[in-house]
Amino acid sequence: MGYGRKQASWLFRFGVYTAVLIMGLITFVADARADLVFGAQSVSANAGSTGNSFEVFLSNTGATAVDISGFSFEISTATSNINFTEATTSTADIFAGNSLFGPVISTSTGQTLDASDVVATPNTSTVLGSGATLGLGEVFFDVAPGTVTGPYAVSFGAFPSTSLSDALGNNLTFSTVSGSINVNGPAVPEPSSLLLLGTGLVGTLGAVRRKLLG
Amino acid sequence: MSESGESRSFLFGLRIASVLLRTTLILFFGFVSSIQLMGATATVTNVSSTAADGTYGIGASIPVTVTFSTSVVVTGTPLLALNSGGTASFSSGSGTSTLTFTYTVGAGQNSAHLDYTSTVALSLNGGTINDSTDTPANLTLPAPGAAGSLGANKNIVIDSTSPTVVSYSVLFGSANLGFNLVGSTRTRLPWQITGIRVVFSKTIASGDLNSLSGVATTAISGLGTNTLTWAISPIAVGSFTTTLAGTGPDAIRDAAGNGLNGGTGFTQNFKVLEGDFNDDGFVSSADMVAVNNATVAPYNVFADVNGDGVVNITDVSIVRSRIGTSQP
Repeated sequence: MGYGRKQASWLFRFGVYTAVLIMGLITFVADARADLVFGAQSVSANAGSTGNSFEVFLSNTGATAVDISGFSFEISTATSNINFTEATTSTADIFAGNSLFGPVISTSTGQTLDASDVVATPNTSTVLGSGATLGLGEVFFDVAPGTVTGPYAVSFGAFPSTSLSDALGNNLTFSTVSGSINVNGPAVPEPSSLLLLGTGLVGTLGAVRRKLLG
Repeated sequence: MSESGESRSFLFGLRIASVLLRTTLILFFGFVSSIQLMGATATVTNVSSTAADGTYGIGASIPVTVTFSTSVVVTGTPLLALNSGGTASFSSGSGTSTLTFTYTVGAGQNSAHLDYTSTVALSLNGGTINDSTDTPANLTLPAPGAAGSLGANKNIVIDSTSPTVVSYSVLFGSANLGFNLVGSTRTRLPWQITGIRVVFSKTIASGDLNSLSGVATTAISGLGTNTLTWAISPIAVGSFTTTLAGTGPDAIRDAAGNGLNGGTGFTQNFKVLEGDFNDDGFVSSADMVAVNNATVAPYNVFADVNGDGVVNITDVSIVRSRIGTSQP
C-alpha cells in the first residue's frame, strides 16, 4: 500500500529533522569540508507496494548562506527489488516557482535514478541560508512482492552525477548522507478490518440461508 | 754571266719556287685539314627530356637528354644547372651522341617552365666529355628557351612546395558548424562531432578516406580544391589523436605529388565531451546552469551544444541529459 501526500510530508519533516541531527553530529565529530549536504529521507514500505516516496534534500550546515542555481543527484539501491519510478519537485522545493524542468525532474529510472533541475530564469538563484534545508525532489518507488524485509540503503552517486552549482555556473563542493528504505512484510489486515470482513461474511451467509429456507 | 751559269740560276730558282709552292700547298691543305678537324668537334645540338610534360614535385626523377653532333665519351659526373635551382647529374649514354642527365627534385626547387640556367650550364665537374678523337666537346648549349633548348622542347613545371594545413576544424550540429582547433586553447569539445574539415595551403589532388586516421571516417569530399572534408561516425566522448597522412598510399598530395607538410603529415589531438561547457572534464549541474545563463547572453558557440546556431533550452536539456559523464 502506498503513502499519501500528507504522510509523505510528515515523513519528510521527520526525515529532515533526523537528517539535520545526524549532520550536526557529523559536523561535531569531524571537520567536514563541505557545508552543503545531500540527504535522503529514510522511509518504510511494504513488499509488493507501489507509489512509495521519499524526499531528497539539501542542507547548509555552514555559517554562511549559499546561492544555488542548479543541482543533480543520482541515487541507487543495491537491490533490484526496489524500482525508482520517478522524481518530482519536492514539497518544499528549492526552486519553487522557478523550476525549469519541474514537476518531473528525473532523467532516468530503475535501480538507479538520476534527477536534476535548474532555475527557470537564467542568472537567478535560491539562497540557502546557514542551517537551512530545502527539498530537491520527491522520489517515487515500488517494492517488488516477496522482497525480504529489512533496511535497504539509498546511496548517492559521486560527482558529477551528483552536483551543485551556484548562479555563475561554478561547481560547489558537497557531501552526502545516505537514506534507507525499510521494507516490511506483506500488508496484514488490521483487527477492525477483520471484524468488518467477518460481519459482512456472516450477514451474507445469513441472507443466503434465509433465501434457501424461505 | 755564262749560259751555264744562267741555267743553274734558273734551275735553282725553279727549285726554290717548287719548294715554296709545295710548302704553300702543304700549309694550305694542312690549314684546310685543320679547319675540317675543328668542324668535327662535338657540339650540343639539342636538349630535351623523356619525361612527360607536367608538374613534378619533391623526389620526382626527371631525365634530361643532351644530344651532341657526334658520339662523345664521358668520364666523371658532368652536371647541368637548371633554372629550378637544382642540378641534373650525368647518368648514362657515354659512347653515344646522347647523354642522359638525371634531375631529382629537391625541397625548395621550383620552376614554372623547366630549362637550364644558361648556355654554359653544362659543366664538366672534374670529368671530361670528349669526341672519338679525344677532343673535348664544345659544351655550349642552345640559349634557354631557344630552339633546341629544354625549355623549347618540353613544358615541365617544378613545384616543390608541399601543401600545409591552414585550419583543422571539427564539424558539429544541424547547422554543420565548424570550430578550428589550430591555435585553439580549448581542451575538450562540448559538441557531438560529426566531421573533420581541413583547409590546406594549396589544392589537393589526391587523398582518400584513410588519409585521416584516428577517427572512424565514413566519407571524403573536396578533392581538387584546397579543402577536404571527412564525415565521421558521431563522437560524444573520447580522446583522439588524428593524423593526416603525408606519405604512403593514402597520402594527401598536391598535383605535383608533394606529400602533406613535406611528407611528414599532420597530427591533431582533441578531446570530446558533449555538454562540457566549462571544459573541466565533467558534465555537471554547473554546465547546465552556465548554458542556461548563456541563453540570455550573446551567442557562445560552446553553449550551442546541438550546433543549430542558437543557444536555447534545447541546449540546456542536452547538457542535462549528459550530466554524470566525464573525460578527464
